[in-house]
Amino acid sequence: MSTTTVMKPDLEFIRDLKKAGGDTLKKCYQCATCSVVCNLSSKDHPFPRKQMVMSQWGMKDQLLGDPSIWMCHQCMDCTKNCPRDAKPGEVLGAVRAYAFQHFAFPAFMGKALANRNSLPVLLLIPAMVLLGVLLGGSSGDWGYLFQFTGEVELARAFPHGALEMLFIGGNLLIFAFAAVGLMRFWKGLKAFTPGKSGPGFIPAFIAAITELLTHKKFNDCEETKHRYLGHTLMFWGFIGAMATAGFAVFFTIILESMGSPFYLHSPIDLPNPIKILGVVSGIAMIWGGWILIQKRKSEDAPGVSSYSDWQFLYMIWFVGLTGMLTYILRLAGIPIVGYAVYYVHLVLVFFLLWYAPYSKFGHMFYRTLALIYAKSVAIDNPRKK
Amino acid sequence: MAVETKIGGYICSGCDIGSAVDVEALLKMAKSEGCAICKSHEALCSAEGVQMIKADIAAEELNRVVVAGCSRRIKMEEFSFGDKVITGRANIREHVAWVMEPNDEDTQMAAEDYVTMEIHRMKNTDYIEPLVQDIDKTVLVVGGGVSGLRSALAAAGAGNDAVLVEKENLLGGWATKWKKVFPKAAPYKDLADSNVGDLIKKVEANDKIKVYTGSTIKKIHGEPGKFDVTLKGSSTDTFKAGSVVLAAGWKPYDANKLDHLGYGKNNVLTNVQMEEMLNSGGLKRASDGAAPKSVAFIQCAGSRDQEHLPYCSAVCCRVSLKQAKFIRDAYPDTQVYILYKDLRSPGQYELFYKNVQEDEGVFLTKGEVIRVDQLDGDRVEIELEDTLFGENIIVQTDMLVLAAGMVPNTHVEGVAEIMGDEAETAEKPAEAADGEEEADTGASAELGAKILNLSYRKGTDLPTLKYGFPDSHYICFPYETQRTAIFAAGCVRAPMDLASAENDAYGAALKAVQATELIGAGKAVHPRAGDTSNPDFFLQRCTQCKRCTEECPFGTLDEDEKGTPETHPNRCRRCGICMGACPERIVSFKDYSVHIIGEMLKSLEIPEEEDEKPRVLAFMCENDALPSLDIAAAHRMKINPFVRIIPVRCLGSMNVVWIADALSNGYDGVILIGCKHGDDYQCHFIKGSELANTRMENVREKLKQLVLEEERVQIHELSLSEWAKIPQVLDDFIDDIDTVGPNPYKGF
Repeated sequence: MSTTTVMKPDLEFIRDLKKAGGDTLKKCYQCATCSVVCNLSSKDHPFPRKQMVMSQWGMKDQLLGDPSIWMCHQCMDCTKNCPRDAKPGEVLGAVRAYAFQHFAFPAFMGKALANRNSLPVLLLIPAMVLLGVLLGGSSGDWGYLFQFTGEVELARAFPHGALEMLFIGGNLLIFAFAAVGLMRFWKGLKAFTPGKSGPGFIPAFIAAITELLTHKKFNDCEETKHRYLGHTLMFWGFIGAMATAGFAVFFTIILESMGSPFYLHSPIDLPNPIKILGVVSGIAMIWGGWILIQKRKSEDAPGVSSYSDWQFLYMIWFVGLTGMLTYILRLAGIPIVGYAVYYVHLVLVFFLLWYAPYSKFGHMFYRTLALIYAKSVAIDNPRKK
Repeated sequence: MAVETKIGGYICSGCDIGSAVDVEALLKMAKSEGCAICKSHEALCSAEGVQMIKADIAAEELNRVVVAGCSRRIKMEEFSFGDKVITGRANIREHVAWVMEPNDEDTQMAAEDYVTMEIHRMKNTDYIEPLVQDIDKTVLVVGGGVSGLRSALAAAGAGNDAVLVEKENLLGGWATKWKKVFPKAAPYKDLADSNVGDLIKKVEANDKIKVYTGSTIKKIHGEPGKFDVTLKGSSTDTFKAGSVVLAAGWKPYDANKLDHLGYGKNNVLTNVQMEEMLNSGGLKRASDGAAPKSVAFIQCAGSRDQEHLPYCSAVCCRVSLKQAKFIRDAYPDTQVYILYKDLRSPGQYELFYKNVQEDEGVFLTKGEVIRVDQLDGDRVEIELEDTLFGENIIVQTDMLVLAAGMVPNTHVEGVAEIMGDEAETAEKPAEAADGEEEADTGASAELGAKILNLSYRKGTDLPTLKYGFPDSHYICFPYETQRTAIFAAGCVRAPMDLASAENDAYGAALKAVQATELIGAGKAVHPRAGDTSNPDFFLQRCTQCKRCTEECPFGTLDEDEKGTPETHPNRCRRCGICMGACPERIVSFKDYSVHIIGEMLKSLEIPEEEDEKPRVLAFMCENDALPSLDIAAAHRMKINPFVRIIPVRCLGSMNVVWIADALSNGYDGVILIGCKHGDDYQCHFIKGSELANTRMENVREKLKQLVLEEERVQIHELSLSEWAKIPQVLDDFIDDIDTVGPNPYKGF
């Protein structure tokens, strides 16, 4: 090989990785059992042994610039088989958690999301904003909120217009911030993982997206087969829920404002296909999230989940749960509880969306980008099977 | 023989023997071969059977007993009948009943032949008078490091006097120079203090141990049990000693040869220099006197390298882990990099390795060093290939430590190399002009390390094997050297850590104590432990060819000015190599001689050519080949019934005249089965197997002269674990004999 790496250990980085869930990383004695069992490993890419050595030596830039980190779906085959209990799966998870912080713009957001003590403050921000929406829209007449029976008028409490403003505005800002981080990430990939000339960006993009949508990598996991089902349900449930929200906005607000005859009156109800999609998606999220949480909690779980994992998993599961509950309470006609749950639902939705680049939710962006990069420069780890 | 031999013949019919052979016929045959009394019993080894023999001995005044039954390797107690009766064992169980077709004509013949041979052995075997001597049982311990200290204590603990000789002015050796040692007890996590101070105190307080410091050995004269030791240096005392423990220790590999790893560059030092630095002024760079921010260790610096030390020095990995731990504890700002081929931290030391590895400031990785360069004048840059990165890596450091290996103090620069050349270009000694070749008989000790200064004809120091270790390196006999009653302990024997050196010292010291006990009783030490026979030299017929003195692997024989051998029974292992070597056949044991074996093989009736029953002799080494056959027999493997087995003490004791006798008596072939020779020899007498191979050249010449086929005499090497191959080896040999046809001298 022509390339040569100068080893410059970064002790600070090692400590940060340990804090982010990789506290076992020094135990590795580089035997390559992990590489033998890993389906992502190949002769030229002894994954994740090389990444374990880099973690041990605190080679921050090389590690963060290695797309392989994001190829790993934390199936825990390596952790289960590691003879030294070095838990490579957790270490890689810690590297990814560190990446969310490292590439975060503004940087303090990364730190805040990684720190469990900041959680109340982080929750308080969407909570206050949504309280403002509630207060601003109701012009003093709050009696309807506190009824025990009657119609639950969600759009009256939280007008769709205001929510769309927050959603679109917030997302634009967040995507801009995320883009800064992702640009840094891309630069690191190019600098530290030079590849061959690959198929070009567009084919790589299509291949990456196809791979992500089909979840076929999850199927390679030996130790954690359940995650294929859990993650697929959660993934498609979330996309379905987002689509439901999008369709709802389109049909109830945009078409109304355009005076279109296809305009639908809010709230949309069954058996409208949009509502069917919403209900199915909600069930999928709850079911998928339940599988993931239960398996992570079970005694024979092959790995240990970090704060970053739990934070994201519970948030997204509660989003699904509160969404579905809101619908049920609306049908049941219990306004006081219905509004409260909807409020919580919205707080969590905005928590997820606004903090996406800094939380584990960011894996959506980083993994996609890493996969595109890997495919575009033809260093995608070939699967063994 | 003073008294006429009177032989009692006893056939055991137990253990399936009775159902495989005709015992009555055997009894008749034994009678006709000259047994005064012949009886059978269904279990000769039972109290009743033994009593029967004892009663006959008393009543009939028997002085020889032939027991035909199981292998001579078992039931030895049962068939010992005191000083006045010599017992011979005809193995008709493992050699016949268990391995041949029951009640077959050939099986019966084999059984009769083994009984006949044993009767003839007994007719020609004489009493042995053990050389019981009043000897000095002092154990001389050479070297006052941990191995030597512990050896002296162990010998004294066993009740022997010990004399400890140390060349330095202080006891303790290398261990006194170590700042800390790696852990010696659970949980094997933290550094420990060496206990060398306590050991020294114990030795100095022990009134059975006499210590000489600042002294070396000027001369060791004589033989075990009667060594006259003369010192030089601080003391010039002389004293007697019975046996010796060589605990002369080790020296670091010469780092000047490691310039390819950066030795000679600024801030590059060896592990021993690092140890000395930590023990004196603390961690400092030579260039600026400041503590380095990083220290790299290159493991296997010289070790496991064909250009330097081909072996693993066993401790360097743990030493580097120890130094890393020490540095990290004392200098938390200093990072440590350990670059290894393989990190070897065996046994419980794995826990120590794990503990050091947990330190976030200790970095380990695998690779082969391809380049070490100076960086910025005082730093060092190391490039490694074959890394776990799939690419070369570079490590930059303020200081580089080379984990250099251990060399035994018996290693003398160039000796191993010279020995190699000698072996290849060895000229035949003038005396061996009749065609026998001289085998390489071990490192010439004239070139040795001058530690023991033995006044042996074969050289002043212990012969060493190719890396300079004096251990004779046979797996069954650790501590054994090629000089009887001189044992090696500690790092002079093999690279090892302090705890292992202490264990080694116990082993070697107790071997030394045991040697004095055996020698005092006139008995051989291992591998023929307890053997009281000694070679007799009929010197009137000696032609001073010096073959015996040259070929004895143990330096037993010295010579007078004319070249006549001078025997030293206490140096002897009773292997009989001198007997095999002597062209005049003047060397014999009372129970094992050219004559006895000759009579045995001549005693058998060889079937006529038209009987189509080939007959071959197998000389089998008692050490591995014979036990292998017993194992094969226990598995009831089939042995060719045309083979007759004669056990030999060592293939080296085989005198070629036996082969000539066998062929002229009509045997169709002779096969020799013994231990492996060569670098990884398994010969229990070091050189016996090799000598047998050398002598085979001579045998082949003789066969040519007699116009006999080369295939008729073969040599086969076998280790104990290859027991299952024995039947095939013998069958193949018989096939070869069938191919070349019957011996044309048959019937002459």
